[in-house]
Amino acid sequence: MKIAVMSCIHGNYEALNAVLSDIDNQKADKIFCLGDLVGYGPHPNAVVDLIRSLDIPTVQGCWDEDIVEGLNACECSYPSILAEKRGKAAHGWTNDQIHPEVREYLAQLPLSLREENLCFVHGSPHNQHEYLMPEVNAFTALERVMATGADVLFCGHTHIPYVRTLDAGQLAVKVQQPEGTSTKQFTAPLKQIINAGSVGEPRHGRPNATYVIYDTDDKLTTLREVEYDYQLTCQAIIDKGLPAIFAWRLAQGLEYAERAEDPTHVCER
Amino acid sequence: MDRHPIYLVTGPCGSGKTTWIHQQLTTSTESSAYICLGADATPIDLTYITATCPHVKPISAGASWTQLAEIQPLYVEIAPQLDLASLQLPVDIESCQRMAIVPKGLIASEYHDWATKTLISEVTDKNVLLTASPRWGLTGEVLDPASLNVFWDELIQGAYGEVARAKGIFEIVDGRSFYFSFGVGFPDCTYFELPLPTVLTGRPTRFSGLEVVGNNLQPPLIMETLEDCGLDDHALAYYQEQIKSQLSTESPAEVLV
Repeated sequence: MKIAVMSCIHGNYEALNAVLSDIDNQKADKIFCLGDLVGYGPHPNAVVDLIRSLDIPTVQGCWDEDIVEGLNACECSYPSILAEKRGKAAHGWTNDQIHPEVREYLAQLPLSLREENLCFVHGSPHNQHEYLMPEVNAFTALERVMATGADVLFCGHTHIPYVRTLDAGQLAVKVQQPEGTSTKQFTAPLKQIINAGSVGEPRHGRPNATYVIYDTDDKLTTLREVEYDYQLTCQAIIDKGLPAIFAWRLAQGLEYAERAEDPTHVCER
Repeated sequence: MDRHPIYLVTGPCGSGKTTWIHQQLTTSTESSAYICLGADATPIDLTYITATCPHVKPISAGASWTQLAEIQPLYVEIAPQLDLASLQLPVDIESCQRMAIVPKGLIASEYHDWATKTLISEVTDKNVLLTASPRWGLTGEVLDPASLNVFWDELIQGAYGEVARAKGIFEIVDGRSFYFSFGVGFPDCTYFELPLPTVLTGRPTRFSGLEVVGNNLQPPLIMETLEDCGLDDHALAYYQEQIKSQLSTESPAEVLV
């Protein structure tokens, strides 16, 4: 079976449309979405409506949670004062725009989904706000996958697509007790973390949307980068009164704000 | 005794006037003086040169010109907005070394006509023949360093208009003062700490500010973003207490309180 996994749409309807067309061309059998449907971008309601109309299995992202619960994350969300001011401006705008039924939909989204040996989350299995960066240490990476009981962990949140294969994982556990020390060795089976990147807010230096195609039969992953008319989104950002800097950053392939600097930080909300 | 000359240095915005003067001043340790005409409210160049060249006597624009005869060589930087043809100085201009720093590709200009010596800088003419440069005084503003980095990257990459030259002096939350410099045609974007006392109590009273040379700039947006990078009094006091507490357990440093 060929599945498509996308994440972090952030109210960018033009990018979502382009990705859905590309998925159609790739003849994927099923689509999963890893959340952050809203936030920063100019079309939060339209994005949610489209995801709902296609009945795409979706997990809740950190921005979806913030729109439901209100902004109460710890400082992890904002690595700078400037990012905080911009993030709060975007949150306030989105909060004003969002329709009640859209908020209800976001509220009932699950934190994770399972499909056989595949697990789907937004940030990490522990928290929507946690970043699993490609360079996170191998032990942490392996622990996050094994915590799910799955073999392949799909995540987003970092806005940078990557595939990380964790093979030949050797774990040694040393237990010290009064009667002596014992050591146990484990060999972890092959695991993978696949990050789907971002549909609506890429930070890989180009404005193009990214997502992944995964073939469950041959276990092959294809990172897809999709061009779209990002200028339409930029214009909508300005027309709708969002900060103009968001349009500039989108056009540069930068995030609207910034990612947190500490990739292993877990939000203490 | 031979008298060293007075250098009158002019050229378009972003041509490298201050860079050239700084090079002259750092290759010598003899007593020198510097004044920048036309930058009274935002003395970025004066602050930069004073901080990095301790042997140079800074002369503010309002100072008595009788000082000029006392310390030489004297470097007089003339901002581009000043009219060279009507420039009047209390020294005999004809006796001064009149320098023009001009970009590559600029072969004729008022600067060429006025100067007795013309130097070609590394920048190209398309980057400097621009409108007057906006300047902002930021004295008292203390910025969050992570925010400043984001702002500076956005600025020089064109988020607020096409930038050919930008330079600024910024105070950050740990009490240090930094000089930032960017120029199209210059080797690198640089920033470094100025050798000034650390300020960890309240807001610094020394000068900080920003000058940007470019096309289609959006000055209100630049100022708004800079304000968003700043710390309010409560946050500043909180961080300063934390830093002072941390420093008290380390080796003593020169702290201006």
